[in-house]
Amino acid sequence: MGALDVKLTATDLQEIQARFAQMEVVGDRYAPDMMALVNHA
Amino acid sequence: MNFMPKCQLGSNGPFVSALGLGCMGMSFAYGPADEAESLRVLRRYLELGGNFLDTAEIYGPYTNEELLGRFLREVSRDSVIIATKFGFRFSPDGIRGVDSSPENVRRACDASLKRLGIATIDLFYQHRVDPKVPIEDTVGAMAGLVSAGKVRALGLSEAGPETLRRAAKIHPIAALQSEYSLWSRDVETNGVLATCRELGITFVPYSPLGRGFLTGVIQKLEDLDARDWRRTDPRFGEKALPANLRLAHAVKSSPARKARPPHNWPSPGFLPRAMTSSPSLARSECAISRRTWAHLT
Repeated sequence: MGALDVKLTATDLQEIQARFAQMEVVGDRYAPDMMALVNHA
Repeated sequence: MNFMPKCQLGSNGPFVSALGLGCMGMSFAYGPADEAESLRVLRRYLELGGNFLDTAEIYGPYTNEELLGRFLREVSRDSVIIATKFGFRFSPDGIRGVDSSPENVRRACDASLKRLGIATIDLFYQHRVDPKVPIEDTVGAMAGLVSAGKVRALGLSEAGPETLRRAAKIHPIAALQSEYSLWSRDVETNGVLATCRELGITFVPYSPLGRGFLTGVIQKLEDLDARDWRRTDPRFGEKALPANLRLAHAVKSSPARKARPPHNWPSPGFLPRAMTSSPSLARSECAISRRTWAHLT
């Protein structure tokens, strides 16, 4: 619950954004049968 | 009772604590259940000021709602907001696919009410869009449950922008629950967040810690119980998991992680949910939620 006390600055958020933008996630969110059920138009 | 900031679901929905408690892992998908431990977690969550409990018919199936039903007998009804979900067909052999037909909507609602031991579900989600049933038919049936006093507010899960628009024309949609974390950011670019903001639908992100992976406590497949569903998750696969570890390492060294010691982070089996109320981000209480979200991811 202490997460509620965390304060991130704009610089912090930019750093997080930059760090993760460089990384590719390997694998889909779900196996194909379950992927078919998400993000419907 | 501790203070926790609250956000309203949609424009007319209930007020829920900024951190919800996703209860799925207490009964389903993440290894063996431990009811005594689950009840301790539920009690502690309420002590800390939380009020938003999330379950679904499919979790078990049924056993997670039954667990919450037992818990609800020991607390006052108005101390908690109960969200549950429908949308699947079951047989004695297991799950038989999606089903959001009006008949199944009504059946599921009555069955969930009975298992939970309550008169009204605070937030009733369609768990997954059923491509065989027009969303207008499904939401129409859900709206009938609101009229009947069995449901207070409506939600969808993993629906896209067009589905949201069509649904909202039938009845106000208070919440959309979809996956959102630093390794699942589709909703930022596929129009989902923008549509929620436009329509005044609260976005409730699930798996904000990547099903526990982004905490860094899962370093190899053997860290998961043999019955843990995540063993079938493509991102936890034999080749994917080692490659994805760099994401967990990046979280560990991020500014968000530095803000609190790692040992104080929630355990992956009982992840609290972060919430951002997209139409209300300017409001102070929801700004706190936004920070929470940033921290949790």
